[in-house]
Amino acid sequence: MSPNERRIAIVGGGPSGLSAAIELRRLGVERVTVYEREQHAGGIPRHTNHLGFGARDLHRMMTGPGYARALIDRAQQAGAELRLGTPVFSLDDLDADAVILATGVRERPRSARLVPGDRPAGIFTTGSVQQLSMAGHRVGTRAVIVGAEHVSFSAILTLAHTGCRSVAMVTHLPHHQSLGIVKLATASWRRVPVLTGVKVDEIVGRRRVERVVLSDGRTFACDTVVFTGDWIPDNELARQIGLTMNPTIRGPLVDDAFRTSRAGVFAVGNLVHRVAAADRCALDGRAVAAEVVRSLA
Amino acid sequence: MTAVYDVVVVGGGVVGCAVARLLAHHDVRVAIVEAGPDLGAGTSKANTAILHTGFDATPGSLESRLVARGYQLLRDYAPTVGISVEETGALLVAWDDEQAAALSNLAAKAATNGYERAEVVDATTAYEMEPHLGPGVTGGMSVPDEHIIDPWSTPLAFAYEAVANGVAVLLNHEVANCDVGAEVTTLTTARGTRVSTRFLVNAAGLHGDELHRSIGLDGFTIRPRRGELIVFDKLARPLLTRTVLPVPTAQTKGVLVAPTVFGNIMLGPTADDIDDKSATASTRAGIDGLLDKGRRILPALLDEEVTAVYAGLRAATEHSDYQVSHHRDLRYVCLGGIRSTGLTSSMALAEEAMARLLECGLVATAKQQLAAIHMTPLGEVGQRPYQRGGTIVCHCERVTRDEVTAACAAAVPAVNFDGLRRRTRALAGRCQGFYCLAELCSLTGWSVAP
Repeated sequence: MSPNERRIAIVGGGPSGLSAAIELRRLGVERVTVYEREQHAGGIPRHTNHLGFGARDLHRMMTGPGYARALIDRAQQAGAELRLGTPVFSLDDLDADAVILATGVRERPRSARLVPGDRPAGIFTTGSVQQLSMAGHRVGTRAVIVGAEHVSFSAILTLAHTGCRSVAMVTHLPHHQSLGIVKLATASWRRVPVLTGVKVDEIVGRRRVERVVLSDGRTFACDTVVFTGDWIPDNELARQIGLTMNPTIRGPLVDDAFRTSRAGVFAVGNLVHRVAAADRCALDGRAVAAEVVRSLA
Repeated sequence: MTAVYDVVVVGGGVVGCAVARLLAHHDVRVAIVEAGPDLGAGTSKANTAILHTGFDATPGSLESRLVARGYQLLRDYAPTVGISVEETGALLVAWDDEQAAALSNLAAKAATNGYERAEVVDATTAYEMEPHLGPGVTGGMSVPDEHIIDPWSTPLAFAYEAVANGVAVLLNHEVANCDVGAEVTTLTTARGTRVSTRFLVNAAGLHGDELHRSIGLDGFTIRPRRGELIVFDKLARPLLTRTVLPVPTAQTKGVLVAPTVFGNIMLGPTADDIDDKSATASTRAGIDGLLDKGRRILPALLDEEVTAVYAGLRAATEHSDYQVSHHRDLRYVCLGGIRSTGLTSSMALAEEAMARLLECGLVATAKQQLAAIHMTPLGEVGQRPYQRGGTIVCHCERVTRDEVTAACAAAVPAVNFDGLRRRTRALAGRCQGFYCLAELCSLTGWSVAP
């Protein structure tokens, strides 16, 4: 059987998974299936409703949803099969000659960051706020943003869109981790103070968040706390099939050709490296395709 | 003129719901009066989820008797209605020579409590049983009959069965005043609603002492004992096969590491006596203390992600035993000071309450026909709904849309995300809503805005 007749399964229909599918089809692989557990493909950009997507791979400046749509369209036009609403719990379900894991990342929620205090309503991650905003739900009125990465500044915009004002951004790190221009266009423009070198010591509020107490003793009255960034790979499948893990990243360990410790299993995107923008993940997906084809030759 | 109930049970926790369920098997008019918006949402939702044999209870105490009896009753009942329960066993672990020396006394105490199967083992055996234990184990005691159980479904199963057999559930009914008349006791709620009953059962948990005093009685004061717990990611589950307990001291049973029926590992609880009956906040000191203990007991656990941190309040009193009493002249039964063992003893406490109500003059004939209920088990053992198809909405816990819809239409329906979590596990997983919160809002029609 030539490499082109092999069956390739891609787990995860975000930018890296879809891009891998597009490129595999372009290289002539006949049977390429993307398994996406949600009812829609596109991954995180689907909910990131502002510009900043597609520069490196599609050479255009797009919104998140527009970018997701473009990748889905290209994958379908290329002839990749998209199986939506299809979670993968085991590789045995796939019947594939090679598997590409592209399960992405999520933000660490409050509990995983061990932030003490009450457990009232009003505590979110950016991901949930973005989806709530897209679905037209209101979130709160005064938010404290925990974290100061790219996504944290994105959270300010999304919250504003829902009518929620950000009253402070807090990071335990000595400096924010985004671009100066991003900070200028979001936090500075909206007069959101960015407090560095401080942690959230306690969340207070019985039914609804009432305030947060910071490690420097300051208190911010708010009804909403958004935990942003501090990404963790969605590594459940990788762990369950026993792949050797990269302890720093917490995703599967891969070599230059995106090969994991198990023959025939590749991994790409934010599952395997420090969190990167969607278009960089898409380039990963493009690059893995040739490696997969080479491995099957 | 509002109807007069035969029995009102104040408190819709695991104990109150168990009492209501048993009463519902008889031809009496019963209501559960609950202060909050849902049942099982107080002390009952935040515990260590262990079905105890009672091996370490104080011999001769009421708690010892009711835990042993409740263990049998709930172990038999759980599978018939769909409450997940697993026979994992427990290993009590000694970490120094003094603790190792105490093990034989603990085995003897277990026997005094009627539990004969506790067995002292050496350190080598302990490591064979639990290979991931940290260094320094000096011995252990195996308690093979300890179980883990779904603590959320237990009160709900009792309540659903009670409702199916005619019990009324009055939510958001915080009792503000209690007036015991010659034949009828009248409860007045904080909102001014009146509920009349002939007999009253106090299962008010943390507020049981207040209700007791409002009837004119005294004898115990609840001083909440806060227990903080950390739940680790399901990927940690292979590190443990059974519950690992410390050697108890005079002060506390100590910090344990236990698997949960949902497939996680739980570390806790702390034990802090506090004054505020609503102070369920976790603390930096509590979390750090637990992590230190966890690092010693099961070092690899600390490499895993934390899924949840929470604190529960046990209804501790100045007495070491449960405060159960009945007062014929007041037509009143008190189930007070039911601490962490209340989940295990709940069905035995219901029997105890029933017997005491009869002594107080309640006439109750067993019904000929009873409505049975069946819940979808939430535990990982056995098939879950997603495995039979259906659209998953919460991917971390693999909860289907149909389960969410069903929870919102249950006999006592979920009315908020906390209630949904306890009925389905949705939102209880590692992402804490990152993926599914918005969809759950759309599905349920609930808002996350203040």
